[in-house]
Amino acid sequence: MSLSIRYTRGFLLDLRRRLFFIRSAHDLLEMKRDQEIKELRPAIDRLQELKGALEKNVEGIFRDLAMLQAVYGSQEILSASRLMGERIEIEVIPRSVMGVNVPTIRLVKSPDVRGRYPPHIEGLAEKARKLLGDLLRLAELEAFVELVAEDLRKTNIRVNALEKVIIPSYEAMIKRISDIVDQSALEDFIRVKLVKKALERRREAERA
Amino acid sequence: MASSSNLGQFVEGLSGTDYERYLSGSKTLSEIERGLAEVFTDKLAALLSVAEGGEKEFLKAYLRKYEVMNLAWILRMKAGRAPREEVEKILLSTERLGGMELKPIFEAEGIEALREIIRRSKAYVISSGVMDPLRLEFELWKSHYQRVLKLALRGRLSDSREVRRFLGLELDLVNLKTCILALLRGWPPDKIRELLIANPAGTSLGELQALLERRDPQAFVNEFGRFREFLEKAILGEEWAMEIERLKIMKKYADSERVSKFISFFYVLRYILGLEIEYRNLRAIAVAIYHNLPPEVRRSLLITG
Repeated sequence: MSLSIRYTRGFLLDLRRRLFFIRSAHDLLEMKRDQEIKELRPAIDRLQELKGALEKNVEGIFRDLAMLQAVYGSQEILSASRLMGERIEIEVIPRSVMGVNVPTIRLVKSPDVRGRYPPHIEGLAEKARKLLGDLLRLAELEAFVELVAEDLRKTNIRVNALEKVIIPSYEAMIKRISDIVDQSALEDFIRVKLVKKALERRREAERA
Repeated sequence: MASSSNLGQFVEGLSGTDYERYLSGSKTLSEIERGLAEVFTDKLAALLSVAEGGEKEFLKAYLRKYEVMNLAWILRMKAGRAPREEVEKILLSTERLGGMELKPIFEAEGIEALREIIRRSKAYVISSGVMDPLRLEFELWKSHYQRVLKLALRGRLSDSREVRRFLGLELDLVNLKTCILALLRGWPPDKIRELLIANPAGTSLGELQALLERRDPQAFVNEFGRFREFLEKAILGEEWAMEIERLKIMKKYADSERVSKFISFFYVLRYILGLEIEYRNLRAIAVAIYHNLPPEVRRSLLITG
């Protein structure tokens, strides 16, 4: 904060106006922080829940893959993996949450595995295809948590900076300027009084 | 072997056996799988070299099932535009079993060229319009089994009755697997019907078609009670276990069949089945070790009995 301080009433008024604005900004940021915490808590719970379910699912798929590979050999799995020519299509749409741009992922086209694999492999391919949707949901939620948490961190820094540094320094500055301005006003008042008295004495002397 | 803690220990366990020649120095799973496949092919080639006459002709045709496997893998890889080196790495050396020359197959550019090479070889009868690798794969299997059954039914083999029954069982299990798995995946009965192979030595296509129309996988379990365990694996979602059950049924049948003569061609088929089971068991153990599957799971992958 670099301000060239002038000990004038005008500057004091300007500072008070600025402090009012900073306090409003602080209140707003505090509200934003509370709202972000509110959004973040259930999102983290959902993320943990989804991650747990997904890990279990992936474990099952890897187990099935290992079993298929053990029974049919690597050649069967390697060659079957080449059968899928289609690609997954997704759309990433940005959405604003408390001013933070978070992605929303929409699955436009999921590859159709039916009839594309030998029947003994199609079951595993279908499980893997279903997993793609869950993985996208997880990625979306992870991005949401990451971006909102990062913004929360920044908001917190701002709130703390305003609360602990900027507002107290403005208050101190206003007090100092106000003291000096009051002191200067008192001095002026006394000076005026003294001048007035001196003038009165001079006028009385002239009359006499 | 199934308790080996790593692939090195597994390879060491096979030292002093036929496998040592191909496995010594093998470190990766693909090297081990390759070595095991080489030993398996060696043993089949040795068997073929001592066969004569009608038996040799039949054996050559029967062993083409490993060539069909190769061709199916190549078709899939070609469909996925896999590089030649990658295709070459996974194949069995079926040329030694009297099969087609593999070099032009590697060099074929795309499915169409590959299909033409297969057609020109006259080893298989496949439709001209089919381009889908999976359909082609089923056509190859169909053509293979038709040829083998034709040879078995011609009766030039000694004990062709047992051989026919053996092939009938093998084909029944192949058809049933296709039916139940495809039904469970929701394939329409018409499409499944196209994939079935006529089995004059086993369950007729009509019988399977009638069951398919019911669109109920459980109907197959009820109808084929003797294959209950095999079929139930599909319903339980353990497709991989079907293959183990299939080979167990084949082994049980081969072991239980009493052949009246000391010298019978049926024993040759039994020997081939034994070789395949040994190859698959060793491969299953190697893959299970690679994936760090617990010993009890490794043991469940073995075809025993």
